[in-house]
Parts: sequence; structure tokens; C-alpha cells
Amino acid sequence: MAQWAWLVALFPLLAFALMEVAPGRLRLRRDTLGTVAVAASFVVSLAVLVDVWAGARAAASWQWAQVGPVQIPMGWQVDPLSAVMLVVVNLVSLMVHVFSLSYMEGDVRYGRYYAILSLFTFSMLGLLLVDNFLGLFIFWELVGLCSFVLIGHWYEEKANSNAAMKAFLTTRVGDVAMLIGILVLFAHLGTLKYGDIWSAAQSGQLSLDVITTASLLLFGGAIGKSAQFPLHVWLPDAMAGPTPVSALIHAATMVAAGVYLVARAFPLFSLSPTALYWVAVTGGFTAIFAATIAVVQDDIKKVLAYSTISQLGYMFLGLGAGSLVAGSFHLVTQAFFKSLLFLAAGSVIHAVHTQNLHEMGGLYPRMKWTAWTWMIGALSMAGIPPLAGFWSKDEVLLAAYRSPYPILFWLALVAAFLTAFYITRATWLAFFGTARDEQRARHAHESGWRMQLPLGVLALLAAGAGLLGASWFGHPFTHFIAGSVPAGTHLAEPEPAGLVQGLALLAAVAGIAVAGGIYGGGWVSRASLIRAGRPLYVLLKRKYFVDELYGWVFVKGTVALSWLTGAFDRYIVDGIVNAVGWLGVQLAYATGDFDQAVIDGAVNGVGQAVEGGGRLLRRAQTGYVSTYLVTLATAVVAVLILLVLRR
Amino acid sequence: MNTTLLAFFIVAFISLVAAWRVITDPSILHAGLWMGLSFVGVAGIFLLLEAEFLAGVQVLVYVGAITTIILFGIMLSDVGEVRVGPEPPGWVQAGAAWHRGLRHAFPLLVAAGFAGTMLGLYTQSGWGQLRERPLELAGLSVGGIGRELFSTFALPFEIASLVLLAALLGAIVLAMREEER
Amino acid sequence: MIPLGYILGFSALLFGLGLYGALTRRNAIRMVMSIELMLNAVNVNFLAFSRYLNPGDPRGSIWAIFVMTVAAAEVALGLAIILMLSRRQDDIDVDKVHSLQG
Repeated sequence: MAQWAWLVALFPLLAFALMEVAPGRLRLRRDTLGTVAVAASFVVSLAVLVDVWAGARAAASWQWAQVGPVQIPMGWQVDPLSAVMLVVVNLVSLMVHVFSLSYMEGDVRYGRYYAILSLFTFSMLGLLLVDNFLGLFIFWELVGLCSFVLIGHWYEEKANSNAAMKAFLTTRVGDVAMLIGILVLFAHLGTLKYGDIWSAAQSGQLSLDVITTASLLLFGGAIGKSAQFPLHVWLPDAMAGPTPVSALIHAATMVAAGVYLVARAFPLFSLSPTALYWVAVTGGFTAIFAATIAVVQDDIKKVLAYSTISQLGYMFLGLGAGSLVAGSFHLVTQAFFKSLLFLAAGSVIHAVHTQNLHEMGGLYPRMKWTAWTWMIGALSMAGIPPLAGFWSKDEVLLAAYRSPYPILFWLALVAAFLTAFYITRATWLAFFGTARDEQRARHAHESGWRMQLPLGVLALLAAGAGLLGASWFGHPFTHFIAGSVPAGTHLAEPEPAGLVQGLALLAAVAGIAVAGGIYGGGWVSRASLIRAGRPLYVLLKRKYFVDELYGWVFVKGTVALSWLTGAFDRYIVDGIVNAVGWLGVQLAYATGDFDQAVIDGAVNGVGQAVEGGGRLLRRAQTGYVSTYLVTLATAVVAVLILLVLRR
Repeated sequence: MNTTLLAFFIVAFISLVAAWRVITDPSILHAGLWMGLSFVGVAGIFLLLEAEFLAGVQVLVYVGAITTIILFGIMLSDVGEVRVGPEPPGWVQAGAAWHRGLRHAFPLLVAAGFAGTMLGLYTQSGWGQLRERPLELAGLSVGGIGRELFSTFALPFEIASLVLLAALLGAIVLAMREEER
Repeated sequence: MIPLGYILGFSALLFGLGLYGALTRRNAIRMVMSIELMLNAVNVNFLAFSRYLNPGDPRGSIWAIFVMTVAAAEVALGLAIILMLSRRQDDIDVDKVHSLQG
């Protein structure tokens, strides 16, 4: 069956193509078409996984393009890592398709929504299947494009389209690094095929510096896509999209791509301790950073968004600690419990028409199914055995514990405590206690089988999927996934330690207990808590002011840059005379500012100077076409001369 | 010096002088006409290269169509030349010549740098003294161009027609007056 | 017989003139004209190389034809833009078109 793996990606692509060209009546059935396609693709992927589990492998490659002497092949492959991910992506996507039948019913762009879902699924499946970095990059960008469209699904509202743009542009920052990393590899090896690169790297054909550089640049792409600090800012805003889309983005597609990239390139990363170190540090820091923010969020989806960032941090921590299994295992389990949580949140939002936790409460009696499935997901994420999250988180913690940087283990442990805390808090605020908004609570109800079925299926997996990697059965997942890297790759698979398991469990239970005590038991009132920790609360509430910092640095930075280019213009191109006049004006401004400063006092003066500076800087961006032309021509001639001199 | 070479020098000289006038003639209308002359000169070069078809196309497209459109454009836009602003203040005028020189000197340097580099490159590569070989019997026939254009280059050809169509539509939409839309 | 170098020299000079014009002129129409001169120089190169290095091969001519097509499209669009400009601000000084200014 493995040799038919390409069918998996074909079905959603066909569905998308059909939806786009289908005439009249068929167009109205786009939801069915998409769901059926993903279901078919899920069945195939399941068969492929069974086959691969039994030891089968498949790959195919063909000549795609030729540019001068450079041959560019294209191909696909299935190995344990991609086979597992194919099933996960298809399953989550299928559940999202089914869930959306009801959730998105009557939406203005219902048909388009399903078309893009199909394209999104296809892109992610393609990303998993390709056997080279070029294909990876193409699908990587396709995934980005689809998430852009879906986040901005309700683009009539400016905030939504802004969020979509933010997601697109932020991830693009990482993508540039990634593209450079790919080109570095290509420049040194002349090939982009995974297998060739791994063997070249292992045979010492690449110097350690090159491996480190390429790995870190590739990791840059992963940071953007998987929303790690400092490029995490887009993910919370991506909540602007429909909730099922959030489930898809956060669990199976988009953010999973970054982790998959590092896992896929693990043979490369594992050769460079520096690269691994930075992966681990970034992951560990992000895990605790995002967890602290999640503690104070009032929007149920924002809580989940920051928890995703935090969980992704865990995955990178696991990978960076040298354990491929820990990272990829957590990727799989997280996909199940996070999509479950998101869909359950969607069910709640659908019922009460608000995302604010403080307007919910007391929903348990009316939405038992949703509440129970949510709680399974929550407990799984908090790390309560024997649910899935416990096993995978345990692997990560173990890897961190045995890694050369045990401090990361303690960070991750605190993050585990915080995870249990914030998810319990959200659970309590949403489902228990008194209904803070009687009106909403009274009208809340379950929304039919199309929303309940996915919740049930995912709950089952969020509970049981961890057994795959459980020590009770001898870590079957560990042995399986190890087959996806070439022999000779260093895989740190540390011995289990009872201490780690005990501490992890303790952290989880403590988190649940403290949150339950505060929100359920009423140990301390929320208001007094906020009063006591006011500065901290504000700091967390504003997400460590990262958005503000970026706004400041990049806007001001752009202005400063434009000032520099403008200065080049004025001084060199427009001539010295002009510059003298300009300087005269500046001097006048400056003296004016000085006067003001003396009169109005120092503080006022500084403000004036900044404002005046900003005004001047703005004026410096010329917009003159002749300036641009001269610059362009100069650059062309300079390159030309350089080429001639090199002959 | 044979007649072909003599003809080349005359045609090239006319074309270059015309090109120079395109840039410098104070009247924009005259500049447009000079441009037509320069194009005719280039057509002459094509003829000397034994590309008769291309020379014909050059005259039709560049002299016949593009020059005419540009002349129309000049008349329609009804602004003969860029207006000179008010007299600059005295202290600016003091260095005005210097300023103007700099505004033109740098582009001149760039343009001359380009031409010079290319010339140097040609000399260095040894193409300079290359003489033409006689055309084979099949020659550079119109038929050859046509066959190639509709077989090997069929797709680019179709795309080019699409580009033209898009440009046509774009030009109409852009040039339409607001109230006509 | 003309040495290839002479023709290349001619095209380099023509291109240089066009470049100089495009860089220095503030009148939009004159800029368009200068760009046309540059395109012509390119065509001369195409034909010259085709004639001297690969005589009888029609590809040089075909490329020149494509360049002409693009040039025609460019002039049509360019002039439409210039027309619009002249209606909007009664002037076609490209230095006065700087709404991209920050």
C-alpha cells in the first residue's frame, strides 16, 4: 500500500480542483465533496501507516526541471515520521470538515471555506510527502497562503484581515531565513534531496560550521511557522479565523509544519550541538513564556492559542534535547488534544455566542458531551496518566532532564504546572460555577451529531493515543519513529527515570489543585489576586509588550532607514547645494527645538526633539521615480563591472 | 573602406545624433520626431544585417505605431514641456550650476560607465573583429521565422498576445475619464 | 563587411544615451522615449549576435519581435498613465509625482 501513498495528497487536490471548476449544482455540494475526499485520503493514509509499520518504505523521484546544468528533481517518499503525520493530519482535517458542516452552516463563504480547507489539507499532506527541500518550501508557502485566506475568512472586518496579514508577514520573516538555509545547503552540495543531504552531512562532506549555519537558518523558518518566541505574535491573532480553522492550524497543519521540519531535518540538526542547543533553548523559553501569558487570558481561544505556543515549545525542547521521539510524539498527541480542545471551544462558542470566559460559566448541565470531551482534552494536556499528554510530555521532560542543560528541565516543569493551572482555570470558568450570564447559559445547548461526533473521536484519541509510546508496552512508537532517520544518526533515547515521572505528575496535580482551589474553592478572590500582583498581571495581560515593542522597533526602524536612504538622496544625488539648504533648514529647526527646550524645560524638549525628528524623517522618504531609477541603474552597472572584473 | 561599412557609419551616425536630440531638443514634439528618425536608423542597421523582415517590422511598429502614439500622447496631454518653477532664491542660485551639473553628472557617469563597460567587454571577448559569415541558402527567411514562431515559440507567442490584450484593456481603463467609467 | 564590434559599439552607445535620458529627464514622455531607445539597442544586439554567431537561425529575430511586442504594450500603458497624470495635475513632471513619499 505504501507505494500508493501519493494518492493521499491527490484526493484533496482533486477535490479542490473540482470545487473550483464545478458548475452549478455540484458547486452547492462542495462541503460533501471536500469531506468525502479527506475521508478517502484518511483511509488510504491509514493503510499506508499499517504498511509502513510493518516495515514497508516507498519513494519515487523524477526530473522536474532543468536550468542550465542544474537538475531539479522532484519526488515523494514515505517513512515512519511522514506516515504517522499523514494519518494525524488527515484525521484532524476530517474531523474539522465534519465539525464545520454544522459550525459554518449558512456562512457567507461556505463553499469557498471548504475549497480552501481542501487546498490546506493538500498542502500539508504534500509537505509531508515530498522528499526534498524545494518541494518542502513550495508546500510550506502554500500552507502559509491557505492559513492567510482562512484566518481572514471574515475579511469584512478590518481586524480579521489585519490578523491574516500579520500571520502571513510574520511567518515570512522566518521563511526568508529558511530559504537562505536551503540555498546554503544547495550551494554546498548541489542537491536538495533529503537522503543525499543526510548522507553527505554524515560522511563529513559538510563542515560543522555549514551544518550549524544551515540548521539554524532552517530553524528560523520553523520559529516563524511554529510560532516560537520571538515570532510567536501572529498565532494569537490568528484566532480571528473560524474556530474549526484554528483547530486545524493549531493541531495538524501550519504550526505542525515547523516541528515537522526540524524533525525531518533531525539527521542534520543532530550533528550540530550548537543548533540543538538553540532549538532547545528557544523551545524551553517559549514553553514557559507562553504558559505564563495563557494564565491571564480571558478569551477562551486565546488561552488555547498561547497553550499551543507553549506546547510547541515543548516539542522543540524535546527535539533540541536530542530526542527525535519526544518531539514528534508530542506533536502527535498535541494534535489530538489540541484539536479536541479547539473544537470543544467551538461548540461552546457556537452555543453561547461569546468567547469571553467571564461571560460563560455553568454550562456543564446543558452541554455535558462538550464538557466531558473538553475535560478529557484538558486532562490530557495537563499530563494526567494514562491520557496521551502524560506520556508525550513525560518523554520531553525526560529528554530535557538527561540533556546537558538540566535547567531546561526545571523550566519545563514549571511550564507543566502552569499548563495544568490555566487549563483548569479555563475549564472551571467555562463549564462550572454559577452562570455569570444567565441569558446565554439558558440558551446553551449541544449542536447535533456533526459537532459531537468529532469531539467523541478526538476525545478517544486524546485519551488513548499515548499508549503507543507508553512504557507499559515497551515504547513501540520510539522504535517505529527511529526508522525515519538514516542509521548512524545520534538519537538520544534516555532511560526512563521515576523521579521525572513523579515530578511531572506532581506538577500537573498541583496545577489542577491550585486552580481548582482558587476558581472553584474560592480560596482567594480573583480581584484580590489581581490587586496583589498588579504589575505582573499587566505585564502578562499585555503579553510582555512584545507587540508594542515590535510596533515601536519596526515602525521607527523603517522611518530611520528611510531617513538614511533619504539622506543618501539629498546629499549625493540631489547635490550639495540642495543639501546645504536642507541643512540650513535643519539648523533652524534644531535651534527652534533648542529654544523650546530651554523655555519649556528638559522633558518637554525631549518630546519636541523626538516629534521634530519624526517629522524630518518622514520628509526624507522621497518617492521620486528618478531617484529610484538612478539607484537601480547604478546597481546594475556596479554588478556589471563586478562581473567583468571577475572574468 | 567598402560601401557597406560606409553605409553603416552614416546610418549609425544619424541614429545616434537623433537619439541625442531626443534627449536634448527643447521641444518635446521635435524630440518625438527625432525618435522616429532614430528608429529609422536602427531599421537601417537591421537591413545591413540582412534582416529585411525585422527592418520592415521595425518601421511598421516603432516608426509607424509607437512614434505616432507618442506624438498623440504629447498632443493629448497638452503639456509641451515641464514648466520651470519660480526663480530660486539668490543663495540657491549661487550654486545652481554646480547643482545642475551634479544632477546630470552622476547619471552621465552611470550611463557612460555602462556603455564603457560593455565596449570593454566586447573588445576583451574578441567579438570585435568577428566578420559575418554568408547566410546559408535557406537564409533568414520570413518563412523560417514564421515556422519557428508557431512551433517552438507557440506558447510565448500566445502569451505575448495576451500581454498585448491586457495592455490594451489597461490603457483604455486608465485613460478613460472619470465620468465615463 | 562590418565587424561585429562596430555594431555592438553602436548599440552600447545607443543604450547609454537612452539610459542617460531616462535618468535625467523629468518629463514623463521623454522618459518613455528614452526607454524605447534602450529597447532598440537591445534589439540591435539580438540581431547582431544572431547574424554573426549563428547565421540563418531565426531565433534572434524572434526575440527581437517579442521585445517589440512588450515595448508596444509598455508604450500604450505608459502613455495612458501619463494622460491620466496630466489630467490630474496638469503637468507630467515625474518629480512631482511622489505620493509614495513617506
